[in-house]
Amino acid sequence: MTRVSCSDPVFTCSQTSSGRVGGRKLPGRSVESMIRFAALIAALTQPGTDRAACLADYLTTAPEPDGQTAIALLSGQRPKRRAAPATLRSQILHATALPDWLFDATRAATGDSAEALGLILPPPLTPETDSLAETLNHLATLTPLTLLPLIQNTAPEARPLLIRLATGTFRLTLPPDVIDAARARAAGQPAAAKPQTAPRHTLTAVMIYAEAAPPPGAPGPELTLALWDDDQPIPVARLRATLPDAERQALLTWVRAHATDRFGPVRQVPATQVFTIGFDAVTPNRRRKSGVALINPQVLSWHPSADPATAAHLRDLTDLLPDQP
Amino acid sequence: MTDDPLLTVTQAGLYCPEGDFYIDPMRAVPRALITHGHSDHARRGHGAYLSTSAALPVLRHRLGRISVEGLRYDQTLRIGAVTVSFHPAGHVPGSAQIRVERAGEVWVVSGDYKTEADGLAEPFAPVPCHTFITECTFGLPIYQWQPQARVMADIAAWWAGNAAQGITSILTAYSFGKAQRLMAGLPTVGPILTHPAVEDVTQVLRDQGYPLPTTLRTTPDVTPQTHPGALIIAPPNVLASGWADRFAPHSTAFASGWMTLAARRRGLGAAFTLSDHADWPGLNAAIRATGATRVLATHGNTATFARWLTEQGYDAGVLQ
Repeated sequence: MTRVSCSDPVFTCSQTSSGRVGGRKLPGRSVESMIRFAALIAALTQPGTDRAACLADYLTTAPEPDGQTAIALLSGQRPKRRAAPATLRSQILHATALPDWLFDATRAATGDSAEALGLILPPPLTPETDSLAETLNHLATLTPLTLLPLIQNTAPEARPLLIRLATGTFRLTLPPDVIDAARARAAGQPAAAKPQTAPRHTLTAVMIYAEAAPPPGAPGPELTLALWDDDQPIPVARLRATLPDAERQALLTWVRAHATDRFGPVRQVPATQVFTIGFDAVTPNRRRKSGVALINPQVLSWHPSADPATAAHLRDLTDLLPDQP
Repeated sequence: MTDDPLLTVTQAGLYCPEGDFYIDPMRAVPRALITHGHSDHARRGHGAYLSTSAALPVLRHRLGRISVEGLRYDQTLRIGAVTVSFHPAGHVPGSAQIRVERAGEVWVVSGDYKTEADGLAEPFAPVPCHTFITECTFGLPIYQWQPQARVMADIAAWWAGNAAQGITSILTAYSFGKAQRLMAGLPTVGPILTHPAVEDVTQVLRDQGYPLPTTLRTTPDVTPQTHPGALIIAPPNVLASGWADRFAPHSTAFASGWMTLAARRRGLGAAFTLSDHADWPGLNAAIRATGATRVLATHGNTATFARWLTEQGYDAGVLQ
């Protein structure tokens, strides 16, 4: 297996020869937001990197506002410069009480001024926990005199990036086609990229349509799952099922044997097969017959012998909607 | 009593004329005092070796049949006109600074050292002296280590993230020292497997009584299937050999002080900054703690570091 990987302590983007792109989200520290973005930039500037894959990986694992902010930055939208590089340099040297000649020797060792400036400040006792978007908002309010505390309180790993953003020396821009490809990949891999994130809600649903022959390499067929509204199955999610090999084969066999109609590769099937699905949240969606959409739905298991009447009702889902004002 | 320097640099290495011995010599010599068992300090071919008792087993393991004696930490030994003793350097298990005294004049050779206690190596102890010969591998102010506990937590999070995805974690580290520091310092996430070169040294240290966890030597029947979620600790050179291929899918990580620098991290797997050498604050604190007035820098950015020390008021120079 060949692996191309571009990574850092908190961000690993790797592509295997099977083409699967795996990302991960570490638990806990939100100080990570800036570190993760710094690691993304490091990965994107590494020769030979699949930049769309790295960005897609970031988008699937970064918290939502960070993804939008990252795309804006990488599309060429830049924050306003808060201080000239020379001004910031003299402030940091003053704060550290290091002589100019020692800084010059240090910069020579790193090969990068922003990196040298970011690393000669002592690590903070408790790093900032602001997200990328919050940091940029904070940055926009600062002056050359008030910039230093933000840099001092930022984790050392993220300081070079922050210094580049603050001094107008952040210059990485990705071509639109790379960003589009990354977005498309990110949208297509929620189930693969977030395996260890437990869904916040589960319920049971019945299958009404299924793909008869999933494309090669797919983890399972795409299914349309429904909930009961009186005795009518109302579709609530179309998603690709990831099932163990034996179950996937058994399900495909069942679908082919029980198809009641066909629409290209998709078969209509009787609403008798029950699945447990997980999802993170429900939002209103007027364009859907059900009136709602699931966030990050995934198939958790198939229950071939369950009674379809035990599947959930649509009101079980609408009960989860946030209260409307 | 003479005004000749207690230690001088010769072609074979650092030499004590009045004791007729060398410290960590680079060429084969009749008598060598060895600070620790890393191969750039403990070389083959010397007539007789002297080290700490704690360093003996690893020296024997690495160098085979050698004529070697061990001293306890702080124990003194008269050699010719000088008195020598070994003092903890905190670098790796058994590592030492070497103190050389002649008629009240004291020189200390730091060897490699780190000031943060790592829970495994005998903790660094400053030794009062007049002349301190200090390593300065990381003698620039960009090198400021995070506490070991935080780095270990970061490594454990990487390991756990891999394990959750069914990916084997391969952490590369020197077979002696860093490898054992990692296995002793990491919280338990899954089984720890070792490359044979790592396991051999680990067993030597375990037999000495160093507190090391249970690890499993990788043999052909050890696979990701038999040990899912495992961490493999291996020397860095095995990655190029294809040795790790059978553990695919895997993710590799490097743990070193050099991982501070973006240029050093480039092209590697995950990177963690964890060093067995003193960082910038550690070097400066250690030098102050010796009370030395004269400091000679070796290993690293010696000229830069000596200039910095001169500006701080020391009689400083490069060991040469």
